[in-house]
Amino acid sequence: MDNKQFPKDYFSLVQDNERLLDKPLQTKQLSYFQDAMMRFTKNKYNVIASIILLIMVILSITVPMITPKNLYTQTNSSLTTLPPKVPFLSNFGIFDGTKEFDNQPIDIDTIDPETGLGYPTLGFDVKYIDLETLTNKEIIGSERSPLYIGGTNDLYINFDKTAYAIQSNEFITIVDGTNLEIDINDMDLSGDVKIYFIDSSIPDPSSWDEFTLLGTFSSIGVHNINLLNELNAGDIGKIVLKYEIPTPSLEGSEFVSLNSITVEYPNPENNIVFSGYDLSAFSLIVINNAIENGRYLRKDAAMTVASFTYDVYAALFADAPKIIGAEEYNQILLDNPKMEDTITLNPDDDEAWTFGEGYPLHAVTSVDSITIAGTVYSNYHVMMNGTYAIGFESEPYFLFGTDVFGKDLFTLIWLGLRTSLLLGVMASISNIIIGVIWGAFSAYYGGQVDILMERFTDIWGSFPQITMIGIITVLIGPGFLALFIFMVYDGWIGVAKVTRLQFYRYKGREYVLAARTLGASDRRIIFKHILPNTLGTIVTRVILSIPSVIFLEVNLSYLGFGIGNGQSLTIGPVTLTGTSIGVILNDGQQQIFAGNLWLIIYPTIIVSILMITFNMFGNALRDALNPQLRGSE
Amino acid sequence: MTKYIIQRIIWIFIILFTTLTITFVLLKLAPEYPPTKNDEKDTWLEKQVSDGFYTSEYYDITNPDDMVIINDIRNNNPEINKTVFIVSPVRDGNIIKVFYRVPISEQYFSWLNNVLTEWNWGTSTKIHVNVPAFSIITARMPLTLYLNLATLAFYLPFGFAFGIITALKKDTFIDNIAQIIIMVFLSLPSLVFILLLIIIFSYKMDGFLPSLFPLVGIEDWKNIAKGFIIPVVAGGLPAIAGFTRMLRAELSEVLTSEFVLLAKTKGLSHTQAVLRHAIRNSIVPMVPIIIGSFAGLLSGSFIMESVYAIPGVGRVTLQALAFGNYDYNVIMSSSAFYGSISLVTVLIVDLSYGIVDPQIRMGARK
Repeated sequence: MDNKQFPKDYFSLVQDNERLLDKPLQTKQLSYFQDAMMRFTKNKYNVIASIILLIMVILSITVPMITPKNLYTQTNSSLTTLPPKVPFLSNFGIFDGTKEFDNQPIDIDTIDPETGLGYPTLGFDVKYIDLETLTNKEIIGSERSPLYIGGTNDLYINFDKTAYAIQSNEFITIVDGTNLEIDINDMDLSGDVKIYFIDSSIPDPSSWDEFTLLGTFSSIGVHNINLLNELNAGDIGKIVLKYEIPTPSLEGSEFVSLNSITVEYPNPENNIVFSGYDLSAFSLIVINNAIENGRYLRKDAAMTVASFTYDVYAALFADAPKIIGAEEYNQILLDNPKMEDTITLNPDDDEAWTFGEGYPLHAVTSVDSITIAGTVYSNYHVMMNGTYAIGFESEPYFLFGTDVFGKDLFTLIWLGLRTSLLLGVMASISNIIIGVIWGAFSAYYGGQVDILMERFTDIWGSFPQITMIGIITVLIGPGFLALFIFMVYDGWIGVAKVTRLQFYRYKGREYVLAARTLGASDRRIIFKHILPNTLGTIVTRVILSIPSVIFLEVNLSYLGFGIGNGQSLTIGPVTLTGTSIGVILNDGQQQIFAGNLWLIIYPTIIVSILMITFNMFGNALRDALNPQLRGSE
Repeated sequence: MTKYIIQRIIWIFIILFTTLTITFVLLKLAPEYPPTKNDEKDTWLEKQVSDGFYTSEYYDITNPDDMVIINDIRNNNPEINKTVFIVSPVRDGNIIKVFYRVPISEQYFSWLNNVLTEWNWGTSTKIHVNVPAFSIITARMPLTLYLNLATLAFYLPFGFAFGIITALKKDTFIDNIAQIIIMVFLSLPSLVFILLLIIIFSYKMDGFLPSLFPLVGIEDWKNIAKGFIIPVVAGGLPAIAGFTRMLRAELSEVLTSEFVLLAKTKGLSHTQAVLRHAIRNSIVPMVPIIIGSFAGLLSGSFIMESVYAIPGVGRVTLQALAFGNYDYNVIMSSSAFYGSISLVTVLIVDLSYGIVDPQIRMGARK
């Protein structure tokens, strides 16, 4: 190895006549929150979730502000349970304000001979029924209702009785050649069917002897009686049918099942047929209580019901015939100055005229005038614009439909969300304040104080939730205060535990010791030196606890222990209404089986999105604020 | 260990005793809601007198002096119909009774005495008038417990399966999808689940799974099972999600440990290493979680029972809390029921930590 020899002056000092100092860092320095922000924005999903959350918060503030107040505060009976309708989307056949109706009893007269399909007319207008979606089906039932057709009517004898009877409600007039036809579908052959006639002159018969026996049958099938055998032309009375068995019934199962009872006249057009509903409407008649009793049941009757899509909006906002007074009529003309110019008179009728498009009234169909003491009082029969009649200027769109009170669900949801969110945030802040003070106190002083405070939280925390709900409900009654106490009474325990743990971690550190040596007070050490270190953990915990608090609010309000419709609470400039997501869900649940599913689905979707985004936001914040991850990546 | 268990059991009794005492005192601060019908009210108040919560005075309805006193009480006593009750004559008698509630401290000791010596929790005032309150709870206990056990039995196999799959497929496409689903299921309130399930299976499918409760008279096990499906699934889905997440975290941590590597170096396939070695170790910390989840399911069950009209303990408790129709004795009994179940569960969880994980020694001195 050959060592090079360097002369001494080969070397020179780097800094001969300047002091060696730390150079300022060339890289940009990041504060704790800048760093946290950087890590927060790294996860794109969380950023999206946070933006959605922010939008929801903004909507919950602005939507109730811009919606006219009467749309969500007043009950509006004409707007109840309207389906959702969304502008633009309605052009594509979705959210177009149509509603599917199921099992609506049809009007038999409307049955189309070609298709065999009928539709209901009560409460529906055929113009707005989508006939392509119309389907019919039969429901077999036993209801005594004219909507049910056909079927048999069964007369049973009860246990330990021997007879039971029914009579027609109308009086039957007997003429020459009147026949009675009885169609027995099925019967217990141990008994007899007896047909009687009771004359209208005996309104209150007291024994069967007063009835005229027309015939006795004990076989299934169609039986005929010539009424003139026992009666005379011109008699008026009721037909009575009695089913009799020789010995008292053992099981109460003896019966006769009737298809029809027909009174046949010489002219078949006058025949009176009792079958189905008419037969079931026969009244029961009991002469001797001791031996006569039974049941009269309708069976196998069929009702045809229709399912179809109905354009609820078009039907609601269609022109409606109305009668208005002269005063109102003139007021409308006054409010629309150019309206009078568009009048087109009807050449055939000088009391009818039409208006141009776009005015509250479309036409006047007739005018009634009365002159009293020289003054003319007029009533106008008009066709009124449907939108105007309900009180709107243009046809409204209810994005999420309306609820049973006719209130706009879209606004209600955001209103409810605002209440839920504010309550959640308030409860979380209360939890954090109580929890931090409790936890800091407990951990900082330690020893006996710590043990006592810990035991207290143990007992307090193991109070069953339902018991607490019971106590608060009984003592205060449901409402905002009760709800707030439910949210806070044990919510702070978690925060206290975390704070205590964090304090134990930091209170033994050297810098705390240094501060104490320098004479810092307890308060200064707690709030200036220890608390800032634990803040990140506590903040994330609180953010993550807000969804669970909202969760609790939804559940409690749903069960009726929280707030309810009609309550309100004013905190400074903000007035919270008693509408919350839980209340909306509770109202909507009763509508599930009426088919108004949107009342459940929309609040559910919104509350789910809120929960999911809140959780993602909270998780992202936790990762961002965790000091151990600082500077990594 | 034995000493620790005894300590814990004593502590449980102290907590239960304290909570019930607080509940009793607070409930007694509120006005009383006796049964509404006169003869039932008479029976109930007489029982209260014999239990030591009330004192009674008898007056003769035919005596004008007595009636003056009665009218004075009726019109001038501020506590009338809150803690003082006048019962009109029953069964054609002519005795009118006035009942006064004794001070809370005296009531408390009578109550303590009744509960400890005779297990007498008082009689119900609204749910089943004059039926012992605790028997109302015990009659409904089996249904609530069956329902929760069924939920437990439903969610465990799925939880295990999904937990293992997601841990094995960690950071793959399947895992990512699973994470999103877990997130969604954990975020939704179970109230929402049960409503959606009712809409889908009960409404949209024309009563495919109808609400069959109460199950009285249904003997066919298929029908009973049908009635259980919706509440069990609604309660089980969030539990599956939570369990999957925990098992995934636990298992993926175990998978990185050295003994799994050793097992693989010895020639075991990945699956064998996981099934034989890793899972056993990751199940250990799950045992207390499983036991603990039972208490969680139970406390969530009163929403389920209320929505689905299941006549269990939760529903009867909510009925006892109907506004203005409070049934204090039933509330007390159900508080005792829920309180003791959750405390015993906590005890078992604590003990099970010691049993399944030898690193933890119970009650060890620091």
